[in-house]
Amino acid sequence: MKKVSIHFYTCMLFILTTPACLKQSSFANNIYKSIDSVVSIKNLKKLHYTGEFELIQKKMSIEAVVVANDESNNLYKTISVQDSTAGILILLDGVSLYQTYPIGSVLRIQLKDLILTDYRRMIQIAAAIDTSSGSMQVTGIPSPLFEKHILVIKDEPVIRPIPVSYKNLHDSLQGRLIKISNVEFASADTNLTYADKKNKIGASRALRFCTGGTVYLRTSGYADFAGIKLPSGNGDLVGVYSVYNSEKQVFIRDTSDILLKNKRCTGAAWLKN
Amino acid sequence: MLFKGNKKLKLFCLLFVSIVLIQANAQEQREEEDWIPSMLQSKTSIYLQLLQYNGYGIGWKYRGSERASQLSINGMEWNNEKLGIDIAAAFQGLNSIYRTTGISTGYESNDNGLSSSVISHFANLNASHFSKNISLSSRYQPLNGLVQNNLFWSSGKTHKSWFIVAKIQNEQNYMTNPALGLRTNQGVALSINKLLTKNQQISFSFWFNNRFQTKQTTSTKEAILLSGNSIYHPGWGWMHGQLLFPNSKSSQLPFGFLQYDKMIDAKTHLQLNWAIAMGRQSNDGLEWTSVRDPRPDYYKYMPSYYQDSALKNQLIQLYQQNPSLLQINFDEMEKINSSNREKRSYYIINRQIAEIKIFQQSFKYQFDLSERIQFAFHSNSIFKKVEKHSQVASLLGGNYFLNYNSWVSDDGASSFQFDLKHPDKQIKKGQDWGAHYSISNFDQQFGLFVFLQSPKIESNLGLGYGIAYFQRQGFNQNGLFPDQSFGLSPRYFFPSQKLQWSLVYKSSPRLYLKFNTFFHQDAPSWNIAFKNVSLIDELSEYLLPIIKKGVNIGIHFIGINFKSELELYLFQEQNQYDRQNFYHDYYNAFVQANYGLLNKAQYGVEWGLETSFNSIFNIQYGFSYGKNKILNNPIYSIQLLNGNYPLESGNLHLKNLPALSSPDMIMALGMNAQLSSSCRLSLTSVFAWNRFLELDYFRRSFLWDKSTSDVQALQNGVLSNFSVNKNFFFKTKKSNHRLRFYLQVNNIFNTIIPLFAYEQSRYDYKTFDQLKFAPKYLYGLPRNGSIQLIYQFN
Repeated sequence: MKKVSIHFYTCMLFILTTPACLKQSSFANNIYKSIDSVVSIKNLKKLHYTGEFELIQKKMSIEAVVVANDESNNLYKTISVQDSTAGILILLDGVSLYQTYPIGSVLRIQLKDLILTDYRRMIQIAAAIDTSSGSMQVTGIPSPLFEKHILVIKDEPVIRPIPVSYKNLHDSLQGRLIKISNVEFASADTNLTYADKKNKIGASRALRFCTGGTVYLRTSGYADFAGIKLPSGNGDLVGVYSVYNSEKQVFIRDTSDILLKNKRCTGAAWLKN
Repeated sequence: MLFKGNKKLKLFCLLFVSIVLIQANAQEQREEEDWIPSMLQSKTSIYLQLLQYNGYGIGWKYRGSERASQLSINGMEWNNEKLGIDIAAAFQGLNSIYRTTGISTGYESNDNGLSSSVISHFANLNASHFSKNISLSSRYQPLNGLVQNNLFWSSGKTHKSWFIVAKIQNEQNYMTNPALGLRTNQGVALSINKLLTKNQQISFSFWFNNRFQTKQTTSTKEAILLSGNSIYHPGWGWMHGQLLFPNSKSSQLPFGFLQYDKMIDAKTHLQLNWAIAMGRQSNDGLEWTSVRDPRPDYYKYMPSYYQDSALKNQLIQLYQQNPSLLQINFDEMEKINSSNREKRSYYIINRQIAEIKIFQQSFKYQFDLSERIQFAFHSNSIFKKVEKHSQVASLLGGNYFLNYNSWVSDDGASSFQFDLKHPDKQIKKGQDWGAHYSISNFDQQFGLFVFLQSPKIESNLGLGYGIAYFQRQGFNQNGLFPDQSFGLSPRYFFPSQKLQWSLVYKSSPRLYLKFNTFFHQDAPSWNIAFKNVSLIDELSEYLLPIIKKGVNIGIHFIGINFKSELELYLFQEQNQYDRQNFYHDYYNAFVQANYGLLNKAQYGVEWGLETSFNSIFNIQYGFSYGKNKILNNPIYSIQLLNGNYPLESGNLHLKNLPALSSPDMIMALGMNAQLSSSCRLSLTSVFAWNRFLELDYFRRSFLWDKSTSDVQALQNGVLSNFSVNKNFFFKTKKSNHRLRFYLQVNNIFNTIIPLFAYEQSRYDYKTFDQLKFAPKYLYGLPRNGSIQLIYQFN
């Protein structure tokens, strides 16, 4: 009997001292990350017909840097990326995207199974389109699929905006970080805020070039700075170029993108505005 | 914490752990007793015997009562809810050193005291109950790798009339399946008894458990199916390739008991008892603020959230190929916490700590007026203070956590500050944050009993009266309620009273008729007496005494080779109130939803039969049919959580809905074979019908308005357990030795049914999509078992 006890307790000792050997790898396959051919955003956009949507069936990817995200809540479930050729919006069905994709992160975005579409001519990449209700319902990339489609390659801390004059604002700049100079808000608007923060309603405020022409600053009613009063001076503005049908728009990441501290402009071109 | 504000989940965790502990305790009880009961000797009802340990897998709750069981030791009440602590974790294994002196069911009165729950266990801690022996026990449970080792020693009566009992226990599991988590416990017990004279004795007992246990969480059927694993739950994850369990609980709460017992004369008995408990219990959970929801089964991450079939398929494929995506991703949290400029932690593991002090005293004086009439007076005083605060247990890669209330929006005002005296405080690891408060509670209970006996009739009458007070002390002035959060509150007094009467009519030595009835008016529990005890000194708006009343009628017949009992019961509870915090999709805000004046009833029939065919085979049969219904449409109000601003109020349409998820109909069959004096086989099967989801009252009432009031039934199920017990006896010159082998196989037919299922409070109040916030489940264990070896000698 003594033997039985000894054997039993030896077994128990063995059991107690056996180390846990569970590894995460036994619960996970590597998420597929093939090396696809990299296309430029400009070439990618060529695949799109305005008002339509195209399912990307080929293995291809873009490499682009994040120029705007949802950090100040001016964008919602969206980031804007650009490469050296063009920019585009990526719809992502997640919140606090800025924590995963801060401005300056260089991403490789695998496009297979994603959809190229546009909202009022602003081209974007989404995960699904539902037309059953008669209108186009666009779905961003679900957050469990972020890792499958998006890889953060490196950081690029300095992104230089492209200086652009009014006459050079055209669709090829969609989604790109631009810098416009010598602009100011219409004097009637300088008493207004960026948007209606209280009622969470977005607004477009006219930004006039002293040299002639108007572009609209689009701000979400949910933006952290929506309730701040517009500056009344003249100067430079950095933002992402966008369109709403034929309207030329720009949106900022936060109020540090606006440097309107100079005196307001005068002159013939201005009077034409 | 993970699954913020989910009271049902917390309750479930407590319930689940309690059940597991009841099972473990039952096993130990069997070790201590000579577990070969002779025929027809069961102490409690046959039905209860069959279901108490076999019923948990089918979600059985005795007579549909949510808070079914309580323990009274040396006349002192140890009640989870009343004390606001986890008694099961602190007491596990203690039953080896006490003796159960009575189990009352259905609020029966007996000479141990007044029952305060449907099942009351009365126990006495006294080393003189044990004869001399030493016992070594080891138990191994392969499914979760659990190993339990116990050493028990009892001195028996020494020549100077001392009795000493000691026990050491160690329990730990090695990881077999992360879903089953980790559990460790080291316990020590000592009980010393001294016979001072022939008629008086004094005894001292000490008990300490150092316990740690990870917690399971519930999930939706969709996530469980995606995981391909019925015991899947999302409450664990990976960090740097290593397992991490954010949800756990621990207990370090030592107890001391002192008893003085004197037979003053042949007719008078006096007993004085004192108890002290001082220590801490804590619960760990995940907290997050202003970031992506870390719960892997969050509804927006599931395939069902998406309409597009291609996208759905992509997600299904992704989860099936990568089950780790259904677990918490701590690496991602660490990345977010450490990649921002100041390394502010948005995710942390929070430790909610309860510093506990309990002092109890009981007094029992029993006087036999004659052989037929006895009186007893009983008093139980409880003073307790529970101080609650939270600590940052892990910053998950960040440098600090901001001391903000994440339920309250950061709108520029200071309402989100937890501590106005130290606003925007950066909390480091191990430092306190959040609400900090204490509750002091004094509860004085008196009871008077009269026992009458005659050849035909036994009767007892119990009268109880009590007075309790609560007092809150806030240690922080928070921004949400700056005028009502800091400092000492007034004392809030609540009376309670009890009346119990039981009668047994012995029609013949074989036929008994039993009747008992009760009326209780209970004081509220401190944790729901306050509107939001952690933040504000304000009592709940629907606070009325909870009234419990009922009647129980039974017929017991003992035949030559069978025994049968039939019981009918009817219980009613009035003025129930509670609250839930959840995100309300219509108001786009976190709300506190309160209800009150809810009345419910439990009624039904129980039948038990025990019979023996010969000296080997014995069969037990149990059957119950009962209903557990809400009787009225209680009042309710919904207000914003970050203030007292009312959003809506009225009546909830709940009448006739099931009040609790317990099967309406149960059949249990136990078959025992006593193959020899040392070998016994046992097979028990439990069948359950008509079991419903645990309802969310607010969602359910809203659905009534929409004329969609069908309550989802859970699947019927059969669970069967098997055990073998074999003893080997041998003698040496000086002692008797016994080696016992015990094998238990649970769920032998591998039935997969939910242990627990409930509706979420969150509901799609905008588009009324019933599938959106789907019910949550926790399934029972598949086939599993344990082996145990006990070596005992004296």
